[in-house]
Amino acid sequence: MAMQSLVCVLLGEWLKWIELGEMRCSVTRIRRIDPADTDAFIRVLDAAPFTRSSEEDAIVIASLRENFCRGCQSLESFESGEALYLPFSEVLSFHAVSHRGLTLLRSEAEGASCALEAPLNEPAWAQWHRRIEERLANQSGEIFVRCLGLLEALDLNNFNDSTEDLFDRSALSSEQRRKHQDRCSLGWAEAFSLARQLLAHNYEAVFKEGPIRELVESRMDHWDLGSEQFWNSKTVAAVNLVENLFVEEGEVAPPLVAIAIFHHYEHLLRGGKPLGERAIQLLAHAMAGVRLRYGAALAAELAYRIGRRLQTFQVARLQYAVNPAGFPAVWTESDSFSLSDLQSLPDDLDVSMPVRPTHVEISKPDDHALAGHSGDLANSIIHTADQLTENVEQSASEVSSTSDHLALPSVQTSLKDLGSEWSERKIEVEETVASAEDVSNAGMGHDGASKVRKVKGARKIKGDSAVVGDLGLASENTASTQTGSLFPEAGVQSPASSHEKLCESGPADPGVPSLLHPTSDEST
Amino acid sequence: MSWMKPFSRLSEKQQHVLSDINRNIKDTHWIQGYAGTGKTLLLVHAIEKLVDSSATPTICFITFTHSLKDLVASGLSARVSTRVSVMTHKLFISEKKRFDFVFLDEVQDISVEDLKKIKALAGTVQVAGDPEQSLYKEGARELDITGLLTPKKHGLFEIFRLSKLIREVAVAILPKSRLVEGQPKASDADVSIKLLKFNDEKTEAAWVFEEARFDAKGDFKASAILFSTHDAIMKFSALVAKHLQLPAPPKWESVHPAKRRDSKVSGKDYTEFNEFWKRHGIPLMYFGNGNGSLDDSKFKPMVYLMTYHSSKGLDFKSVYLPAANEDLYLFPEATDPDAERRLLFVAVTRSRQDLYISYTSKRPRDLLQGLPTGVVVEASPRIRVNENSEELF
Repeated sequence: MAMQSLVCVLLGEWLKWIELGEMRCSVTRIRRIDPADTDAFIRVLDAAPFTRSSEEDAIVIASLRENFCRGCQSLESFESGEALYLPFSEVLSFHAVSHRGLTLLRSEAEGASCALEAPLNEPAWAQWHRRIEERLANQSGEIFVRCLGLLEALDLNNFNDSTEDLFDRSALSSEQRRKHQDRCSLGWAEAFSLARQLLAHNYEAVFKEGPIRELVESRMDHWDLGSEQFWNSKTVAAVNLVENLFVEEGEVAPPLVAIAIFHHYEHLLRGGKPLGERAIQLLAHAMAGVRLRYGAALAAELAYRIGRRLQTFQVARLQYAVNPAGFPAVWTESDSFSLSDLQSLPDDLDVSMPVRPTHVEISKPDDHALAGHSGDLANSIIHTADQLTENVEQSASEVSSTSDHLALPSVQTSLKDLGSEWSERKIEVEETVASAEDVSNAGMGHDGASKVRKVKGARKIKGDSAVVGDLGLASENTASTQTGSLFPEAGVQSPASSHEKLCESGPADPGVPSLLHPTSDEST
Repeated sequence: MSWMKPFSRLSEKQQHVLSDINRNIKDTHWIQGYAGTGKTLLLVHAIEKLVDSSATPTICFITFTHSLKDLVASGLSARVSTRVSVMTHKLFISEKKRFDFVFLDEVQDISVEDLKKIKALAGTVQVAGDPEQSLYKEGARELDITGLLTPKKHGLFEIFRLSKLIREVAVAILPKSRLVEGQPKASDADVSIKLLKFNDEKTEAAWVFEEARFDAKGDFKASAILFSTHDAIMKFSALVAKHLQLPAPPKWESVHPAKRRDSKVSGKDYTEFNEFWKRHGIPLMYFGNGNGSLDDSKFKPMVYLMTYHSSKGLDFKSVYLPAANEDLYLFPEATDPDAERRLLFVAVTRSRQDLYISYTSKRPRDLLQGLPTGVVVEASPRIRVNENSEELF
């Protein structure tokens, strides 16, 4: 194709050019190229003022007469940046950048009595468009990570391939996914479904009933962006339960909460749903939990993946709000997005990862675990007991059916009994806590440990699904105190390292019946 | 309101059109485009700007249907809403009150006579609508509108919410359409369009209702089941009641022509009908002709029953078109060969994401027999039972 002088103009510029008969334009925007040369054509597009890249109806390409610069020998004879007044008579033709753009701009062209012709190099437009979209996405990801204070932990060159696979795949069939679409259950359904696929054994009963079913079901009927979705005692209990299954199999557990958060927000943003101030705050809360549980590196990676999907205008507003001093020209409506707000989590929630199989914890409470930490443990137990007492009646029906599925003779307690007995258990827990605090004050002793064991044992006798989760929580508290250095508050500790330690701790005690072992016909 | 967008988030083209309108607000402009292209959005933006820039103009926004009236009112900011009257064209004409500016949506559905009356009561008229979507034989033709108002035309053809597959379905129904779908989105992968064959109407009604109810429980809290006639709505409702083991719902009542002016509803009164479902705790509601309210779906799941006509201008995540049988009544008496296609076109393009067309006859209506390959064809799908007893994932 012959060389042409091309300039890319915005919709408004184009129509004004027609209307006024000339256009002022920097000479740097004009390129003399072979339109078939994709790289050169991309430079024509690059020279246009910034606009939303995706809008084919926002730009057109003007092809100019060969001697448009009159008197001048070439474009190079102009000084860089010199303004050029281009009369309309110098335009040979206007071209849309794509056939879709040609359709969309037809009415403008007709309205201006101007011929608009087919694109000169549509593949170049497509390539440029993809590149700009990618750049915008990466920029959004990075800004969002920065807003969360995780930039130092972000290592784009070291994204884990396996993590990539965990985040980017959907473990649900299209029919299953439709069932959870636009519901708060989607993220959890994806996470648990993925876990079920990755586990070597078949734990149908665990996944079909109990705290996991309760968690997913409780989020099926709504899409509430205004309330905490990911970090509370019930979610932690359910996640502990599943992540412990991996521990039992000697495998590294996938970061289930991170996966659930990713799918939740990915679906939300993919559907073009707006993320208001409250939703951003909740996302930040969720991310804070991820950092505490899985480490800053994974939190940064997750934030980057979600941030890439945020719309440019959203991250732009967010960065102004988070760092108003950095953008003196912008007036922000509120200062509610301070960094500390973004990083806060409920004080009374322990989100640290369990590091030992739950059943080991039940049968072998580690006396040393209580030393120096029983106060925290006590508070956590009281909190958990309070919450479970409140919720026990609602979950009783699921509890009952779960007990059947788990095939535990000890879980046949009737629904009514369960509710009333829980109140007693709460008192028992509180008594134990008091003892534990005594132990803490007076130094470690067998008495305190056995009382904790007694509480745990009592719960095991209850044997319901919520209890399984509760045990997970209780043991998790114990475990976290054992390994407090594993995930220092802002540490960059990978989950894998904790699992290495887990594996070192040896297999589960074979003599102890586990709530988490597969049922008889499910070994594979 | 979620359908409203700030100026900065309008497309370049929308911004350009809006700037042109506001710069020359004393001239008449005609924004042409399908529902979903943003024409109503631009009219509302133009009003907001007008209120900012003018002293105290009197402004009226006229809609063709009651359904759209609520939608428009919800899009106006609190600052502006007290300054703008929103009403149907029938009420506007009957009130005979003069306004400095009149913004008229769905202009192609207004008769020439009514258009003249509106013009006589308005200082300046700004209009939106598209001749390709005309549903009423008495509606003004493009030439009539152009001759009467001499507007400057602006064309918006990109339906931002429309997925590629829905566009293909719509174009298969109305090949003349100049429809352009929005930019391909990742969410297009979630789109589900099905053509479903049922053996009997009872099963069809049960399936459609249960699916629509399930869909309504999600994010948007509303699904729509659309019918070509009011009789079809009653037939479907009776089958749903039977499925739910309820007595038959009461039929709508005709509003006496003499009382129509004082009545909130026009034509058919579904008050008793809607009360029936509410009383039984079933989230089903007829919406249209001044009956029902979209507000009900803001806080709880709701399934709306509507006619194709009433649904115009609205959109829902999941749309169901049951009883699309060979004998589906559309516009048998219309002289315009495209009239039936346009009506069906309007119905299918109400969907933002999922569309389920079903029938019980041997074949679906002829206009639905050439749908694109992306449409899943299925026979006798299973009726959704208590979801708690199902596998969750």
